[in-house]
Amino acid sequence: MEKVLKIQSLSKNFGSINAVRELSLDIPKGSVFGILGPNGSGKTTTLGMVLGVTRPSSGTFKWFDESLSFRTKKRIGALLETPNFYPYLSAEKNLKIVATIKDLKNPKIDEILETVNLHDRSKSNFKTYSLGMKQRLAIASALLSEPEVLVLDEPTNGLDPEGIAEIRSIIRNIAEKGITIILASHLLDEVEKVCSHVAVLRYGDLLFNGTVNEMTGMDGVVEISAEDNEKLKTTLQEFTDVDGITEENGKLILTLKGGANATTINQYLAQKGIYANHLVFRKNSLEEQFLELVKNPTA
Amino acid sequence: MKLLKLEWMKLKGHIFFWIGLGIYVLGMILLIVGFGDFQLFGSNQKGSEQAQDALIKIQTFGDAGFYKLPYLWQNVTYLAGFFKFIPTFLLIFFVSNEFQYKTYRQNIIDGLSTNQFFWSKIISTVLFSVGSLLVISLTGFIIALSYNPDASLADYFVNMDYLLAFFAEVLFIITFALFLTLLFRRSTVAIIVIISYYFIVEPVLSFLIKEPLSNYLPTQPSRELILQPFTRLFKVDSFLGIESPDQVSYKFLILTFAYCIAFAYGGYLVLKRRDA
Repeated sequence: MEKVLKIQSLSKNFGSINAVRELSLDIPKGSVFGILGPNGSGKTTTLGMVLGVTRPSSGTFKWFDESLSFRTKKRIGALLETPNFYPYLSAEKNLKIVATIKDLKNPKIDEILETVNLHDRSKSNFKTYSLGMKQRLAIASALLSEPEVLVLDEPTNGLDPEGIAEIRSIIRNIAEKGITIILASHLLDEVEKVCSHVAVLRYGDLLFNGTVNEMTGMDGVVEISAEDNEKLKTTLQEFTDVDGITEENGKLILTLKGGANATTINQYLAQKGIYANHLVFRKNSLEEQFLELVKNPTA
Repeated sequence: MKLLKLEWMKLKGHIFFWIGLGIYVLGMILLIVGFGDFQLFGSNQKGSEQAQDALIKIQTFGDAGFYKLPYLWQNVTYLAGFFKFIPTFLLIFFVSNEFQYKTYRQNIIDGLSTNQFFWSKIISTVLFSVGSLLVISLTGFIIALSYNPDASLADYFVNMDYLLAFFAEVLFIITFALFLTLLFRRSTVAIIVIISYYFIVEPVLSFLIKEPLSNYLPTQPSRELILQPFTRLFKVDSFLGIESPDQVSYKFLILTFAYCIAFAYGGYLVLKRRDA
C-alpha cells in the first residue's frame, strides 16, 4: 500500500526528557490515522517534527517519498495544537495570508468558508470567534490548498458536544473524498469513531500500530459459566487453546490463543459432556485495550 | 515581492501600526514646526557678558537660525532622533505578536521557510526606517522651502548626508530591537531590555571603559552620527572651547551599518536554532 508519510526512528529530546523515542511509523494513503496517547505522550512533538516546526534530535521522515519542502507542504494541510491566526484580521484576510504563503493563484476562500459554516462571519475579526468557530476556520485554512493529507491535532479539544459533533462530521466528509487524515487525540472514543488506523504512544514510545479492528480484535476474551464451575475450570485447563483462566462474578474469563474462539470452546466442552449456561465472546473495547497497553510497558 | 506583500497584509490590519504611524508623523511635524517659537531662556540667565549678549538677541530656536540651510538638516534630524523609539516599539509589537499568536509557527506549517520569515521581518525593519526617513525628509523640505526663500537648489543638498545618518540611526535601533524580539519573543521583555540597555547599561559601561574604546560599544556609533547642534546654534562653541562638527562621521556611519548587519545576523541565528 502506498504511504504518504514514512517516519524512521525519529527522536526528540528536550534536555534530558525524551519526548519522542525512536519512533518509526508509516501512514498509508487514504487512511484516517489516529495517533492516540495521553497528554504528554509525544503526539504534538511528533507532528511538530514532521511539519517542520520542531527540529528532530535524530531520525528522518519522508512525505510522499520526498523531504519536507515548500512543494510537499503545499500537499499537506495542518493545524497544530490551537488554531493560530492573526486575531486582528477577519477570517477572509487570514485565509488570504495563507493563500499568499502557499502561492495559490485563485484561492476558493468563499467556497471553503461555506463548507465549514463560517460564511456569515467571514468579515468579522478572528478574535471575536468562539472556540468552535476558530477550530472550523483552522480546518478551512488547512483545506485551502486542496491538500492530499490533512493533519489535525486535537481538533475537538475544549469544544462542547455540538461543536465536537460538527467537527467530526466535517472530518468524515473530508475522509470520504479520499484525503488521508492524520488525527492526534487523547480521546479513545474519537479515534474509535473516526479512524481506520491507530498508533498508540506513551511517554514517547510507540506501543501499538495497526488498524483499529486489529487493536480491538486482538486478545478477545470468552465469558463462560456452567452448573459446576469447578469441573468446568479443570476441564478447560486441559484444553490447549486456552491461555489463561480468571474468575469474575461467578463466571470464568478465558483468554484464548490465536485461532480459538467461542465455537471451538463450545465444541470441546460438548465432547467432554459439559454444557455451558453462559457463553459470550467479548471483544475488548479500544478503551480497555488502550488502558491495558498504557499500563503494561512490555506490551 | 511575495514577502513584502505578506508583511503588508499583516501590517495593514494592525491597529497599533496606524496609531503609531499617526503619532510618529504628527509628533515629528509638530515638534519640528513648533520648535521655532519655543522660548529658550529667561531674562535672568547667568553667564559671561559675551554670552549674555548673544542670548539676549536670540530668544527662540527660530531666531537662532534653526531652520536655516545648510544647518537645517542636522538640526531637524537631531530632533527627529528622539522619535526613533516609536517605530522601534511598533516593530517589537509586530514581531512579538507572531510568536504570541503562534502565527510564526503556522506560517512555517503553511509553507514559509525560516529564512523567508526572517527576510520578511528584515523587510519590515527597512520599511519602518525608510518610512521614518520619508517623513523627516518631507518635513525638512517643507521647512527649507518656507524658511529659506532665497536659497538656490544646490543649497538644499549641502549637508544632506544627515538624512543618510538619520536613516542609519533609525535602522540600527530597529535592527537591534528585531534581534532582541527574536531572542526573547515577548514584547515586554524586549522593550525593557532595549530601554535599559540604551539609557542605562551602555552609558554606564561607556563611562567605565572611556573613549576611544567606548565608541565601539553597540549603540555608540549610532549616537555619534548626529551630534547636538545647539552649541553652534547659540554661538557658544567658542565660549565653551569646543567646536561642533558639522559633518557626519563616515567612520561611525560604516560602523553603524556594520552593527546593523551583525544584529540582523544574530537574529537570524537565534531564529534558525530554535523550534518554531
